[in-house]
Amino acid sequence: MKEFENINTALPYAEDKVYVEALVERCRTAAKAHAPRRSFLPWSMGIAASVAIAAVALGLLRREPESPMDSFLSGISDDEAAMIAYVQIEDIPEFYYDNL
Amino acid sequence: MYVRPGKMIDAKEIVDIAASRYGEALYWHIRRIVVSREDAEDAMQETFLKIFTKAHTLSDGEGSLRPWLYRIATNEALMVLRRRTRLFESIDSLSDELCDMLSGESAPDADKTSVLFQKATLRLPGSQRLAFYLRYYDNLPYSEIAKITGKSEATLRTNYHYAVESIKKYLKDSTI
Repeated sequence: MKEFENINTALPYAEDKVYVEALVERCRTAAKAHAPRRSFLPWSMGIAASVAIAAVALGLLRREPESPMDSFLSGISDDEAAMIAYVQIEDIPEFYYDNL
Repeated sequence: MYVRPGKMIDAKEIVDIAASRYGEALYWHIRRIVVSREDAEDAMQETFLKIFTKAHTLSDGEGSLRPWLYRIATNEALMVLRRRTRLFESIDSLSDELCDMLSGESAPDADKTSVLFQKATLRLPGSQRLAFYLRYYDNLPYSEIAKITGKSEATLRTNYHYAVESIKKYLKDSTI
């Protein structure tokens, strides 16, 4: 075109003819097989999300209901839990029996 | 079924013709619009899939094939750009992003003038850019560009004229 004859108007990309020909060939094959190549990321993320949702749902279904004690003890350490149990057993007030 | 004088050809054959005769040109047309190589590959895949699945909509006659192919390729390229925009944002608003992308996608030893020229085209409004690409690079007649874009030939001539003037001004301003 005469408008820009003194300027380099070519695209500044590095692709060569071999790359473009190979791409066109891939597109031709995929179209005729009616199985377009999809980007890996979207469908792999979809599968990962489905697996995660299924795992969470399964975990919730299989989980046994928590007792009030389990719920309480979950917030304290093992040592504290042992101490509570010890106190509960040992500290039955003798005066209780004495006063019967 | 696409009809060539004396012969009927099916979708697979149309895909073959598209690939062998116009494959490279369609790739570069798409690449000019989307800039990114990865996006161009995706748009090419979708273009060929559309060619295959929509072959039955192709009207009769040899002359209608090329604009039909370019129309599909253009639509797929614009779909890629559309996905990059935010809600209610026009594709024209992507100019800055496309120019940045161009710098990243360019070959390390690319001619600076060539990069500057492409940036000038990316600054054009969409209708001017499309008319310029199809006329300047693909050397298509206005009658075919009209079939691709759905615009009148007179409008396309005006778009092309303004595109050339804008590019010249951009290049002049950039080299000062």
